[in-house]
Amino acid sequence: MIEKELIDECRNGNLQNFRKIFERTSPMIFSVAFRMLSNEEIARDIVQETMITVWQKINRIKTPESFKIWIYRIAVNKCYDYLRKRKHDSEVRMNEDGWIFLSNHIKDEVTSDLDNQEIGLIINSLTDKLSIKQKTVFVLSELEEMTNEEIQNVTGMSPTTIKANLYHARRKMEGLLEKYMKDE
Amino acid sequence: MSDGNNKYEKVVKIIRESLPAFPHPELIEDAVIEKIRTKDQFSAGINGLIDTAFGWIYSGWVRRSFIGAALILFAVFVYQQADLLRSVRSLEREVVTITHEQPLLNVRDLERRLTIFKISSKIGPERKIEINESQLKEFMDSYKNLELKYENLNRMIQEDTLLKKYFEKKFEEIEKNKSKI
Repeated sequence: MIEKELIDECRNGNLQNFRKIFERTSPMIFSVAFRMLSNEEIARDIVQETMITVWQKINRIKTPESFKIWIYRIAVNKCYDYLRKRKHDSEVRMNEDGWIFLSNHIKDEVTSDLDNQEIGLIINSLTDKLSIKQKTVFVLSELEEMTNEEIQNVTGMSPTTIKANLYHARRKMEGLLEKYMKDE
Repeated sequence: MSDGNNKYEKVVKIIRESLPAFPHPELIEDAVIEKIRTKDQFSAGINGLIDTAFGWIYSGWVRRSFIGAALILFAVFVYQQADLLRSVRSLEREVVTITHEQPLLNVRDLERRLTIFKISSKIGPERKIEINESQLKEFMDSYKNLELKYENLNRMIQEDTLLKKYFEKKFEEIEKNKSKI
Protein backbone atom coordinates (compact mmCIF):
# COMPACT_ATOMS: atom_id res chain seq x y z
CA MET A 1 0.00 0.00 0.00
CA ILE A 2 1.36 3.39 -1.02
CA GLU A 3 0.48 6.31 1.26
CA LYS A 4 -1.34 9.36 -0.02
CA GLU A 5 1.43 11.65 1.31
CA LEU A 6 4.01 9.78 -0.72
CA ILE A 7 1.96 10.19 -3.91
CA ASP A 8 1.34 13.87 -3.16
CA GLU A 9 5.06 14.45 -2.66
CA CYS A 10 5.78 12.81 -6.03
CA ARG A 11 3.17 15.02 -7.65
CA ASN A 12 5.14 17.99 -6.33
CA GLY A 13 8.26 16.62 -8.01
CA ASN A 14 9.94 14.95 -5.03
CA LEU A 15 12.21 12.32 -6.54
CA GLN A 16 13.39 10.99 -3.17
CA ASN A 17 9.86 9.87 -2.36
CA PHE A 18 9.56 8.41 -5.83
CA ARG A 19 12.56 6.22 -4.96
CA LYS A 20 10.50 4.83 -2.06
CA ILE A 21 7.64 4.05 -4.43
CA PHE A 22 10.11 2.38 -6.77
CA GLU A 23 11.52 0.18 -4.00
CA ARG A 24 8.06 -0.95 -2.90
CA THR A 25 6.49 -1.52 -6.31
CA SER A 26 9.28 -2.59 -8.67
CA PRO A 27 9.49 -6.25 -7.42
CA MET A 28 5.81 -6.84 -8.23
CA ILE A 29 6.20 -5.19 -11.64
CA PHE A 30 9.25 -7.32 -12.34
CA SER A 31 7.40 -10.46 -11.21
CA VAL A 32 4.40 -9.93 -13.50
CA ALA A 33 6.58 -8.80 -16.42
CA PHE A 34 8.94 -11.74 -16.06
CA ARG A 35 6.09 -14.24 -15.77
CA MET A 36 4.42 -12.82 -18.85
CA LEU A 37 7.54 -12.46 -20.99
CA SER A 38 9.84 -15.18 -19.56
CA ASN A 39 12.84 -12.94 -20.17
CA GLU A 40 14.82 -11.19 -17.44
CA GLU A 41 16.27 -8.41 -19.57
CA ILE A 42 12.95 -7.48 -21.15
CA ALA A 43 11.23 -7.63 -17.76
CA ARG A 44 13.81 -5.15 -16.44
CA ASP A 45 13.08 -2.86 -19.39
CA ILE A 46 9.36 -3.13 -18.63
CA VAL A 47 10.05 -2.12 -15.01
CA GLN A 48 12.00 0.90 -16.20
CA GLU A 49 9.39 2.00 -18.72
CA THR A 50 6.56 1.43 -16.25
CA MET A 51 8.20 3.52 -13.53
CA ILE A 52 8.84 6.39 -15.94
CA THR A 53 5.18 6.29 -17.01
CA VAL A 54 4.13 6.24 -13.35
CA TRP A 55 6.16 9.40 -12.70
CA GLN A 56 4.76 11.14 -15.76
CA LYS A 57 1.13 10.25 -15.05
CA ILE A 58 1.06 10.23 -11.25
CA ASN A 59 -1.37 13.16 -11.30
CA ARG A 60 -4.03 10.81 -12.64
CA ILE A 61 -4.13 8.77 -9.45
CA LYS A 62 -7.30 9.61 -7.55
CA THR A 63 -6.98 7.39 -4.47
CA PRO A 64 -3.97 5.57 -2.94
CA GLU A 65 -6.07 2.38 -2.87
CA SER A 66 -6.17 2.26 -6.66
CA PHE A 67 -2.41 2.75 -6.99
CA LYS A 68 -1.52 -0.95 -7.06
CA ILE A 69 -4.11 -1.77 -9.73
CA TRP A 70 -3.08 1.30 -11.74
CA ILE A 71 0.61 0.37 -11.71
CA TYR A 72 -0.26 -3.23 -12.64
CA ARG A 73 -2.36 -1.91 -15.53
CA ILE A 74 0.56 0.10 -16.90
CA ALA A 75 2.95 -2.85 -16.60
CA VAL A 76 0.51 -5.36 -18.12
CA ASN A 77 -0.24 -3.02 -21.02
CA LYS A 78 3.47 -2.71 -21.74
CA CYS A 79 3.89 -6.51 -21.61
CA TYR A 80 0.83 -6.84 -23.80
CA ASP A 81 2.36 -4.49 -26.40
CA TYR A 82 5.62 -6.41 -26.31
CA LEU A 83 3.89 -9.78 -26.73
CA ARG A 84 1.89 -8.47 -29.67
CA LYS A 85 5.08 -7.33 -31.40
CA ARG A 86 6.87 -10.59 -30.63
CA LYS A 87 3.93 -12.65 -31.90
CA HIS A 88 3.95 -10.63 -35.08
CA ASP A 89 7.63 -11.40 -35.54
CA SER A 90 6.97 -15.12 -34.86
CA GLU A 91 9.90 -15.38 -32.48
CA VAL A 92 8.25 -17.67 -29.94
CA ARG A 93 8.98 -21.37 -30.33
CA MET A 94 8.18 -24.42 -28.27
CA ASN A 95 11.08 -25.40 -26.05
CA GLU A 96 11.68 -29.18 -25.62
CA ASP A 97 14.22 -28.60 -22.84
CA GLY A 98 11.50 -26.97 -20.80
CA TRP A 99 9.36 -30.10 -20.79
CA ILE A 100 12.26 -32.33 -19.73
CA PHE A 101 13.16 -29.94 -16.97
CA LEU A 102 9.53 -29.66 -15.85
CA SER A 103 9.08 -33.46 -15.80
CA ASN A 104 12.07 -33.78 -13.50
CA HIS A 105 10.76 -31.09 -11.18
CA ILE A 106 7.29 -32.57 -10.87
CA LYS A 107 8.83 -35.95 -10.17
CA ASP A 108 11.13 -34.49 -7.50
CA GLU A 109 8.53 -31.94 -6.30
CA VAL A 110 11.26 -29.34 -5.92
CA THR A 111 9.72 -25.85 -5.70
CA SER A 112 12.05 -23.48 -3.94
CA ASP A 113 15.41 -23.54 -5.71
CA LEU A 114 14.43 -22.46 -9.22
CA ASP A 115 16.36 -19.62 -10.74
CA ASN A 116 14.96 -17.10 -13.21
CA GLN A 117 16.15 -19.04 -16.23
CA GLU A 118 14.40 -22.20 -15.04
CA ILE A 119 11.18 -20.38 -14.16
CA GLY A 120 11.25 -18.70 -17.56
CA LEU A 121 11.79 -22.03 -19.28
CA ILE A 122 8.81 -23.65 -17.53
CA ILE A 123 6.44 -20.72 -18.12
CA ASN A 124 7.54 -20.39 -21.74
CA SER A 125 6.97 -24.08 -22.42
CA LEU A 126 3.62 -24.09 -20.67
CA THR A 127 2.15 -20.89 -22.12
CA ASP A 128 3.68 -21.00 -25.59
CA LYS A 129 0.41 -22.04 -27.27
CA LEU A 130 -1.78 -19.61 -25.36
CA SER A 131 -3.18 -16.42 -26.85
CA ILE A 132 -1.98 -13.14 -25.34
CA LYS A 133 -5.26 -12.71 -23.46
CA GLN A 134 -5.18 -16.25 -22.12
CA LYS A 135 -1.56 -15.83 -21.02
CA THR A 136 -2.33 -12.51 -19.30
CA VAL A 137 -5.32 -13.95 -17.41
CA PHE A 138 -3.35 -17.08 -16.46
CA VAL A 139 -0.40 -15.07 -15.06
CA LEU A 140 -2.60 -12.62 -13.15
CA SER A 141 -5.02 -15.21 -11.81
CA GLU A 142 -2.94 -18.32 -11.18
CA LEU A 143 0.52 -16.88 -10.54
CA GLU A 144 -0.09 -13.38 -9.17
CA GLU A 145 -3.21 -14.69 -7.36
CA MET A 146 -5.43 -11.77 -8.27
CA THR A 147 -9.21 -11.89 -7.91
CA ASN A 148 -11.40 -11.66 -10.99
CA GLU A 149 -12.41 -8.14 -10.00
CA GLU A 150 -8.77 -7.06 -9.81
CA ILE A 151 -8.03 -8.67 -13.18
CA GLN A 152 -11.04 -6.85 -14.60
CA ASN A 153 -9.66 -3.53 -13.33
CA VAL A 154 -6.18 -4.26 -14.66
CA THR A 155 -7.05 -5.64 -18.10
CA GLY A 156 -10.47 -4.11 -18.75
CA MET A 157 -11.86 -7.55 -19.65
CA SER A 158 -15.37 -8.51 -18.53
CA PRO A 159 -15.74 -11.22 -15.82
CA THR A 160 -17.11 -13.62 -18.46
CA THR A 161 -14.13 -13.05 -20.75
CA ILE A 162 -11.74 -13.57 -17.85
CA LYS A 163 -13.40 -16.86 -16.89
CA ALA A 164 -13.54 -18.05 -20.49
CA ASN A 165 -9.89 -17.20 -21.13
CA LEU A 166 -8.77 -18.86 -17.93
CA TYR A 167 -10.81 -21.97 -18.73
CA HIS A 168 -9.36 -22.28 -22.26
CA ALA A 169 -5.83 -21.53 -21.03
CA ARG A 170 -6.14 -24.28 -18.43
CA ARG A 171 -7.54 -26.76 -20.96
CA LYS A 172 -4.65 -26.07 -23.35
CA MET A 173 -2.01 -26.37 -20.65
CA GLU A 174 -3.54 -29.59 -19.28
CA GLY A 175 -3.48 -30.98 -22.81
CA LEU A 176 0.19 -30.09 -23.16
CA LEU A 177 1.06 -31.65 -19.81
CA GLU A 178 -0.79 -34.85 -20.79
CA LYS A 179 0.98 -34.95 -24.13
CA TYR A 180 4.54 -34.23 -23.06
CA MET A 181 4.59 -35.74 -19.56
CA LYS A 182 2.85 -39.08 -20.02
CA ASP A 183 5.49 -41.08 -18.24
CA GLU A 184 5.27 -39.13 -14.98
CA MET B 1 -9.27 -35.28 -10.71
CA SER B 2 -7.71 -36.27 -14.04
CA ASP B 3 -3.98 -36.80 -14.54
CA GLY B 4 -3.68 -33.61 -16.65
CA ASN B 5 -5.52 -31.64 -13.98
CA ASN B 6 -3.26 -33.01 -11.26
CA LYS B 7 -0.13 -32.17 -13.22
CA TYR B 8 -1.48 -28.70 -13.94
CA GLU B 9 -2.02 -28.00 -10.24
CA LYS B 10 1.49 -29.22 -9.45
CA VAL B 11 3.14 -27.13 -12.17
CA VAL B 12 1.21 -23.98 -11.26
CA LYS B 13 2.16 -24.49 -7.60
CA ILE B 14 5.84 -24.78 -8.58
CA ILE B 15 5.78 -21.58 -10.64
CA ARG B 16 3.68 -19.65 -8.13
CA GLU B 17 6.00 -20.45 -5.27
CA SER B 18 9.11 -19.69 -7.29
CA LEU B 19 9.13 -15.90 -7.23
CA PRO B 20 11.46 -14.53 -9.90
CA ALA B 21 14.49 -12.80 -8.40
CA PHE B 22 14.84 -9.14 -9.30
CA PRO B 23 18.59 -8.66 -9.79
CA HIS B 24 20.15 -5.25 -9.06
CA PRO B 25 17.02 -3.14 -8.78
CA GLU B 26 19.18 -0.18 -7.73
CA LEU B 27 20.64 -0.01 -11.26
CA ILE B 28 17.20 0.33 -12.79
CA GLU B 29 16.20 2.78 -10.07
CA ASP B 30 19.15 5.03 -10.91
CA ALA B 31 18.45 4.73 -14.63
CA VAL B 32 14.80 5.68 -14.07
CA ILE B 33 15.70 8.68 -11.90
CA GLU B 34 18.29 9.80 -14.46
CA LYS B 35 15.77 9.57 -17.31
CA ILE B 36 13.16 11.47 -15.31
CA ARG B 37 15.69 14.21 -14.49
CA THR B 38 16.75 14.49 -18.14
CA LYS B 39 13.14 14.69 -19.29
CA ASP B 40 12.30 17.25 -16.59
CA GLN B 41 15.32 19.35 -17.57
CA PHE B 42 14.32 19.16 -21.22
CA SER B 43 10.74 20.21 -20.49
CA ALA B 44 12.03 22.97 -18.17
CA GLY B 45 14.26 24.18 -21.03
CA ILE B 46 11.32 24.21 -23.43
CA ASN B 47 9.19 26.10 -20.91
CA GLY B 48 11.99 28.61 -20.41
CA LEU B 49 12.26 29.14 -24.15
CA ILE B 50 8.50 29.64 -24.46
CA ASP B 51 8.57 32.11 -21.56
CA THR B 52 11.39 34.06 -23.19
CA ALA B 53 9.72 34.13 -26.59
CA PHE B 54 6.13 34.76 -25.49
CA GLY B 55 6.43 35.96 -21.88
CA TRP B 56 5.60 39.52 -22.93
CA ILE B 57 1.97 38.51 -23.44
CA TYR B 58 1.59 38.48 -19.66
CA SER B 59 2.21 42.26 -19.44
CA GLY B 60 -0.98 44.13 -18.53
CA TRP B 61 -0.68 46.88 -21.10
CA VAL B 62 -0.01 44.35 -23.90
CA ARG B 63 -3.14 42.43 -22.95
CA ARG B 64 -5.23 45.60 -22.81
CA SER B 65 -3.88 46.67 -26.21
CA PHE B 66 -4.76 43.28 -27.68
CA ILE B 67 -8.28 43.52 -26.27
CA GLY B 68 -8.64 47.01 -27.77
CA ALA B 69 -7.32 45.85 -31.15
CA ALA B 70 -9.64 42.87 -31.10
CA LEU B 71 -12.63 45.10 -30.36
CA ILE B 72 -11.68 47.49 -33.18
CA LEU B 73 -11.27 44.60 -35.62
CA PHE B 74 -14.64 43.25 -34.55
CA ALA B 75 -16.29 46.63 -35.07
CA VAL B 76 -14.72 46.92 -38.53
CA PHE B 77 -15.96 43.46 -39.37
CA VAL B 78 -19.52 44.28 -38.26
CA TYR B 79 -19.45 47.55 -40.24
CA GLN B 80 -18.22 45.76 -43.38
CA GLN B 81 -20.92 43.12 -43.06
CA ALA B 82 -23.61 45.78 -42.67
CA ASP B 83 -22.26 47.68 -45.68
CA LEU B 84 -22.20 44.51 -47.73
CA LEU B 85 -25.78 43.74 -46.78
CA ARG B 86 -26.85 47.25 -47.74
CA SER B 87 -25.16 46.91 -51.13
CA VAL B 88 -26.85 43.56 -51.76
CA ARG B 89 -30.26 45.04 -50.93
CA SER B 90 -29.62 47.97 -53.26
CA LEU B 91 -28.64 45.59 -56.04
CA GLU B 92 -31.83 43.61 -55.51
CA ARG B 93 -33.90 46.72 -56.21
CA GLU B 94 -32.06 47.39 -59.49
CA VAL B 95 -32.42 43.93 -60.87
CA VAL B 96 -34.17 43.25 -64.19
CA THR B 97 -35.54 39.75 -64.29
CA ILE B 98 -35.94 37.97 -67.60
CA THR B 99 -37.81 34.70 -67.55
CA HIS B 100 -36.79 32.37 -70.36
CA GLU B 101 -39.24 30.25 -72.27
CA GLN B 102 -36.42 28.81 -74.31
CA PRO B 103 -32.66 29.31 -74.27
CA LEU B 104 -31.13 32.15 -76.25
CA LEU B 105 -28.78 30.71 -78.81
CA ASN B 106 -28.28 32.88 -81.90
CA VAL B 107 -26.99 36.38 -82.68
CA ARG B 108 -30.46 37.76 -83.13
CA ASP B 109 -31.43 36.65 -79.65
CA LEU B 110 -28.34 38.27 -78.27
CA GLU B 111 -29.21 41.46 -80.07
CA ARG B 112 -32.64 41.36 -78.45
CA ARG B 113 -31.15 40.91 -75.02
CA LEU B 114 -28.74 43.76 -75.61
CA THR B 115 -31.59 46.03 -76.58
CA ILE B 116 -33.61 45.18 -73.51
CA PHE B 117 -30.54 45.77 -71.41
CA LYS B 118 -30.08 49.22 -72.96
CA ILE B 119 -33.70 50.04 -72.27
CA SER B 120 -33.56 48.80 -68.72
CA SER B 121 -30.46 50.87 -67.98
CA LYS B 122 -32.47 54.03 -68.71
CA ILE B 123 -35.05 53.10 -66.11
CA GLY B 124 -34.53 54.46 -62.59
CA PRO B 125 -32.93 52.22 -59.94
CA GLU B 126 -36.15 52.10 -57.91
CA ARG B 127 -38.10 50.40 -60.71
CA LYS B 128 -38.26 46.79 -61.67
CA ILE B 129 -39.21 45.28 -65.03
CA GLU B 130 -40.34 41.76 -65.61
CA ILE B 131 -40.54 40.62 -69.22
CA ASN B 132 -40.63 37.21 -70.83
CA GLU B 133 -39.35 35.91 -74.12
CA SER B 134 -42.56 36.21 -76.15
CA GLN B 135 -43.08 39.81 -75.02
CA LEU B 136 -39.53 40.59 -76.04
CA LYS B 137 -40.10 39.04 -79.48
CA GLU B 138 -43.29 41.05 -79.93
CA PHE B 139 -41.49 44.20 -78.95
CA MET B 140 -38.63 43.57 -81.36
CA ASP B 141 -40.99 42.79 -84.27
CA SER B 142 -42.87 45.95 -83.62
CA TYR B 143 -39.61 47.88 -83.50
CA LYS B 144 -38.42 46.40 -86.84
CA ASN B 145 -41.75 47.11 -88.47
CA LEU B 146 -41.63 50.69 -87.31
CA GLU B 147 -38.09 51.06 -88.56
CA LEU B 148 -39.10 49.71 -91.99
CA LYS B 149 -42.03 52.07 -92.24
CA TYR B 150 -39.80 54.96 -91.30
CA GLU B 151 -37.28 54.06 -93.99
CA ASN B 152 -39.99 53.78 -96.67
CA LEU B 153 -41.49 57.06 -95.67
CA ASN B 154 -38.09 58.72 -95.69
CA ARG B 155 -37.34 57.33 -99.14
CA MET B 156 -40.67 58.57 -100.48
CA ILE B 157 -40.00 62.05 -99.11
CA GLN B 158 -36.51 62.12 -100.57
CA GLU B 159 -37.75 61.04 -103.99
CA ASP B 160 -40.61 63.52 -104.15
CA THR B 161 -39.34 67.17 -104.18
CA LEU B 162 -42.71 68.73 -103.40
CA LEU B 163 -43.33 66.42 -100.51
CA LYS B 164 -39.83 67.10 -99.21
CA LYS B 165 -40.37 70.84 -99.32
CA TYR B 166 -43.72 70.40 -97.62
CA PHE B 167 -42.21 68.44 -94.74
CA GLU B 168 -39.31 70.87 -94.38
CA LYS B 169 -41.73 73.69 -94.11
CA LYS B 170 -43.80 71.79 -91.57
CA PHE B 171 -40.74 71.00 -89.45
CA GLU B 172 -39.71 74.65 -89.46
CA GLU B 173 -43.17 75.61 -88.23
CA ILE B 174 -42.98 73.04 -85.49
CA GLU B 175 -39.57 74.35 -84.39
CA LYS B 176 -40.89 77.88 -84.38
CA ASN B 177 -43.85 76.85 -82.23
CA LYS B 178 -41.48 75.11 -79.81
CA SER B 179 -39.38 78.29 -79.47
CA LYS B 180 -42.48 80.33 -78.69
CA ILE B 181 -43.52 77.97 -75.98
